[in-house]
Amino acid sequence: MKFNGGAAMGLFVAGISLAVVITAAGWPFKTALFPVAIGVPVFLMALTEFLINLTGKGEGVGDAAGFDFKLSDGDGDSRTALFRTLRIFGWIFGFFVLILLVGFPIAIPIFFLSFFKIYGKESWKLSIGLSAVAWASFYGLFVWLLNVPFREGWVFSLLFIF
Amino acid sequence: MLDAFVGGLILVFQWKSFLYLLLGAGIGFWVGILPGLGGATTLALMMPFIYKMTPQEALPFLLGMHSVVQTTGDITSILFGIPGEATTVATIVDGYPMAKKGEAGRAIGAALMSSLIGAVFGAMFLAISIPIVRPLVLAFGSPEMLMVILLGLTCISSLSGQDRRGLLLGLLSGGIGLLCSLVGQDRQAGILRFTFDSLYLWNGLPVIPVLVGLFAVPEIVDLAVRGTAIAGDVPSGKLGKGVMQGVRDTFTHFWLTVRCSLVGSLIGILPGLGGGVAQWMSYAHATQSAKTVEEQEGFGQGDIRGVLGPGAANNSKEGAGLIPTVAFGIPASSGMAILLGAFFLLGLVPGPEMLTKHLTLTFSMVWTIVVANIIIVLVSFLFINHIAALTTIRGKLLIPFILLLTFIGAYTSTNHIGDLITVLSFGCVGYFMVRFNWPRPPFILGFILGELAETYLYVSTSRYGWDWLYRPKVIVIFLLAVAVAVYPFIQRKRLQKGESSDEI
Repeated sequence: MKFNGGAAMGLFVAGISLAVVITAAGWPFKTALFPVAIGVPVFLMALTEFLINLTGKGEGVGDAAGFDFKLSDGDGDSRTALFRTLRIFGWIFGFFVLILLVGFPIAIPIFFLSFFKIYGKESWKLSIGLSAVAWASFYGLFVWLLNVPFREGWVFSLLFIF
Repeated sequence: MLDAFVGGLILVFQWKSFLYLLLGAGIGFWVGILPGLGGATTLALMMPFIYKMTPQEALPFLLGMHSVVQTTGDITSILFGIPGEATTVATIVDGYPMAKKGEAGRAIGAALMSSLIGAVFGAMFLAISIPIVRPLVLAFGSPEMLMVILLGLTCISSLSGQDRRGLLLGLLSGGIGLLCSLVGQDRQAGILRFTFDSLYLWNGLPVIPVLVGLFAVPEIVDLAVRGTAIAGDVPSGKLGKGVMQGVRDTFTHFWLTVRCSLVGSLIGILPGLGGGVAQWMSYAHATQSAKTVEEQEGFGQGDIRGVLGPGAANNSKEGAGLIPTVAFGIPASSGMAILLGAFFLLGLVPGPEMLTKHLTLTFSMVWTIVVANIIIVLVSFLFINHIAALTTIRGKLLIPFILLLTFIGAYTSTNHIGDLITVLSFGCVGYFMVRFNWPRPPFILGFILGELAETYLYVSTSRYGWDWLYRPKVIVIFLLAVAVAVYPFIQRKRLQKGESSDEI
């Protein structure tokens, strides 16, 4: 018995599909037909996938699974890869939080400048220059030319209230 | 008929019409490159500008723009692994690995040339079909459409890998895509399904943020983990050199390109199915062109045929999509629905009148698609070296720009913060799928086809009970679907048998 990531993924999908079927059971027939028709086979397949992984029979055969790329291993060291993965996810979520807080127009230069300086360890000149290019391209195309409505950040919404 | 055909060409080259065509194609060029800002959205944005135009000016402008968006959308897909358009996702599967290997120029060259062939094919398909299209489109009721969707879904077996385990993971992935398509208000009874009290989810999960998240975020993470440029350590001078190789590849696999163009045209003619399905079906067909097990396993790792098939299909479906739009006023896609609105604004009524009184104008649309694509492909070839060189920029400098494109591309989908949450959520889903070898293409196919499949299933059973199962056309398409599903296994066995007999 081996509970690995693949098994967890199978179990997670089995749980989701079971929840779909249970929820759909309370709906009228015409609304529930398709969710149940899809949910039941997905549940059974996910359970099979979970068991294959749990019994260790799934190791090594996943490579046959299709037309997709394989993740890099960070200079051959899985710990390095994990560290870099977590770090970049942190930056991605950080950018999202920044957009939530101050809105796109302000979040973009702040994110770019901090990313280039802290993550990229680039020079001030290059960091400021690229941040300016990013902001100008964004503002010129989406705000000035296309008039895309961008929400203001929570910080400014709160300031406006007070 | 011939007079109208030639008259259409002359109409396109009238200086004012041609100028508007150039303007439209120029806008379409940039719209295609920017992820998220789709052809349909831009058509809608451009509508206010056509009020004072004549049909001879407005149609080249709108159609010139709309018909090149798919062409340049392939460029973003190949360079950064971000779908420039919802209809250019399949190009990523082999195009992006080629960019990673330093073959961005070759991939773009092949994508552009196959796009051009696809566009010309689609336009010719439109021209030839105009007199005979009526019985063809009217022959497809909701049961036949449901079977065509089933035919599309059977491509999952072709996109899932090479053994039973691969098929299990592919079917699971497709199943999750179908489950995700359930989100939103049920079309039959109006019941809210899995919306979690969020108004944003009433219309279902928007396609662009889902696609962008699923494909772009894992690529960004991988780029950060590798710590190099997209093209690794390949010198920038080598990137553009493959352009002519890509063009030659298109002609080496000319019949594959033509067959995939035909797939695109046939799917394009059917209202509602859209370019995503056409692209994946043609990709599945391209994978079936493998002659050895090794070749088959090379798909997804950067096989040029994986770029040619989708490249041709997503452009050929544009011309074909005009057929139901012009002949019956039934839009084949969201872009065509907006174009239909433009028709009414210009005082044109789709239907028999377009095939009799305005036949020259109808043929001018055929020529607009051809001319706009030729111009854009030529212009792209001029800049291809510079475009390909983007893949040699250090990852640390490129990541914020790709991330910005990802977020903006998703946000412009509905201008709601929920778009960003969707990107992040499906970015995580995409990452785990890649990590545990669950193929993403079947997910996309299931997600795109889910809503349509449910609608046609409901309409078919409501209207015909279960009798629709016995309709001859339904049975024929069903058998075809079975053949498509089983073919990869037969092909695999045949290839293995061939190789073992060679060894002896």
